[in-house]
Amino acid sequence: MLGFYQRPNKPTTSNAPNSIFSSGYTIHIYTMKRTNYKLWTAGRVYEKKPYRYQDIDLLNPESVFLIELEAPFNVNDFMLHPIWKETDLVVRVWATSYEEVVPCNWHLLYTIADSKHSMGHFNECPEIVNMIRIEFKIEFENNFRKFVLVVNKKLRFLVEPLIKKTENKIQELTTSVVSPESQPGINFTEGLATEVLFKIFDYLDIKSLSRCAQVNQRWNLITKDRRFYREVDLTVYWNKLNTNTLKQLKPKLKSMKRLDVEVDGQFYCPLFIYPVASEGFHSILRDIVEDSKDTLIQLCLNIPYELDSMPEREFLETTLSCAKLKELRLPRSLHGYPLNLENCLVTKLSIMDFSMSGIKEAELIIMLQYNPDLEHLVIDHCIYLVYIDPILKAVIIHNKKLKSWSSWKTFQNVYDLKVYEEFGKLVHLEDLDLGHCEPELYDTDFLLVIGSKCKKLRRLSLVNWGQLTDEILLPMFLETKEITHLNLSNMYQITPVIMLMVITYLPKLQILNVKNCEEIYMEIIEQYRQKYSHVKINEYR
Amino acid sequence: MPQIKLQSSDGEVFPIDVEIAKMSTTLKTMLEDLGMEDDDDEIVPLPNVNAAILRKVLEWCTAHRHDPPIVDDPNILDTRTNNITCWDAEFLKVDQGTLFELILAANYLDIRGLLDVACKSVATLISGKTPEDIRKTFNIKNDFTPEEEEEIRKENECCAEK
Repeated sequence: MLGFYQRPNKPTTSNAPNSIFSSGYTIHIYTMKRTNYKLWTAGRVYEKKPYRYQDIDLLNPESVFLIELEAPFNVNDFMLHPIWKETDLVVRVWATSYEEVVPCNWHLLYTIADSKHSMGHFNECPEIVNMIRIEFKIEFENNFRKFVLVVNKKLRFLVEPLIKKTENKIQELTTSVVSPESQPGINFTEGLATEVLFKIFDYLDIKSLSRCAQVNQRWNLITKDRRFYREVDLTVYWNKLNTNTLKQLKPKLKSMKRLDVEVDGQFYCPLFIYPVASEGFHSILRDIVEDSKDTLIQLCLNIPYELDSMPEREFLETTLSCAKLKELRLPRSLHGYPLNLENCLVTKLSIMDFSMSGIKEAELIIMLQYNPDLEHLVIDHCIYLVYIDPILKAVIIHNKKLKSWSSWKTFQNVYDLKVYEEFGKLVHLEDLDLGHCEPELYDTDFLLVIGSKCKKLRRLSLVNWGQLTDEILLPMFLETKEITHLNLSNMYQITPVIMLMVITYLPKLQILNVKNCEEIYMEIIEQYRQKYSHVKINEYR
Repeated sequence: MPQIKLQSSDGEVFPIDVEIAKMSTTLKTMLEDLGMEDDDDEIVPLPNVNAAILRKVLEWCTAHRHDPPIVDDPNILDTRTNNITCWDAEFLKVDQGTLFELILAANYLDIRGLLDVACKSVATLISGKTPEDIRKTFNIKNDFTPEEEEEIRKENECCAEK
């Protein structure tokens, strides 16, 4: 989530650099692709495109939030700051320029594409926008009042005296720049074969389908087809998903292959007022899962633990009876009831995600045992997992095919130094995120062991390993030639030397993060960016 | 490079590379079934596609001739609409009539990539709009009786909520 805040009084430069937005658009849109197992900040694949309206308006923001400032501001002093770590609902930020005459042009300051699922490890303010602005327009993907209020609060708190007017309204901005103009009178959709309409509707989410159902008889009939409800993403409703929505959907949701209900973000945002789940919410959701338990392949759910705790147990039992599951994500769950693994039929998992959950060590080990084909394990921020050794050992015994391991902020006290060497036994390992899992002391060459054994390692994150130095790190990178993404943020002792080394030694390196490294100054990063343009250094996206 | 000739519904003849023609599954099957590859003089009539649209279609095919074939993952359906490339987005910056005619042509000629991207483009026009806005955008007549409309609205109101 984004908010604005003003940096402490910093002299404003009169010759602020010409905004890249003022003329000859060179804005870039970053399209993020969701890796199918985990959302690595550094691991996201992205591509750059020149800015064009039609690209942007594919986002279809539904709500706009307007802020008018009393006085013009040098936006150099503003930052877009992620205060919401879970769900970036802000799609774009526009602003008008003080210098321009009325009618003002809206300039795009910030845009974010396909961010609905981003659950990231933001470390720093991503964007600095320059040029003097007087009005801001923030577009949201979802029109969500509570959320807007949060932003509002944040804004009030941070820049209150400057806000003259805030407004939350639907803006026609989107439709005004959508490309194909409608031609009066002619209904071209009539000429389309039903099969083609099917194909078009395949690209619509469940909310749009419900709207299409109300258009006319033909569309109504088409939207009733089961094919649109095989892979269901309920996250489009975000927190508005309630008992009534589920009740209406339930008859349609049979024999699904994929269900994604990963909504909320209570974990990170204390400002956010979490709506109380309406009565019967979880039992209906459970029934929906039950109806598809023989077909579901991907299931992504989180169950707010403080609500409705009785159904949670039944809910988990139902979940564990989906025998075909290959992907199971239960983030933030399991804080109320333990997993009852007696009747667990889930044995084919390739992806297991228990991040921010209350899973216990014994439960996780049994799940690992049950699922020998596991390839991706995500146990970020699991508060009850204390020791890494039993889990790593279980993985080495049972899950020899493991390709990615992520335990960001989970094992924060590792004493047994030999443990990390064990990663070397996972020879298929491609992704390793051990952010904030630094061992107490270093007296082994475990990094070298990992580097020399895990020959397929492509992505490595060692965020916040404050004791690491260039000398300890370097031998590892002589061994791992496949690395494309490397995150060395929050390492206080590393120097620009290591940057040069990794760029030289890792031929496939694409993304390098060295944020908050005290020895590595902005100027040096700039130099490196210019000199080694094939590597993206500290890029937010 | 062997060529064949395509004739649009309004009589214009387009000589094109066989390689490009084969991006259309319809033409590919026809060429293979009829063994027409060696016969340069044969003209293939396309009674459903006019010259303007055929030119657009061929423009798309030429630009995309090196695309890898589309492989469907049975487990994951690509339902994203924000992955239209720049070139395609520019290409599809046309009026609605042309867009829909392109869809018809792509469907008739069975050019998967073009059909996909054009359908995505239409989907983006639908997405985020209210039923009334959708009708306006496409000039669709509301053929529900007031009773039906009310009933369907009730059936969908929670799911269609903004």
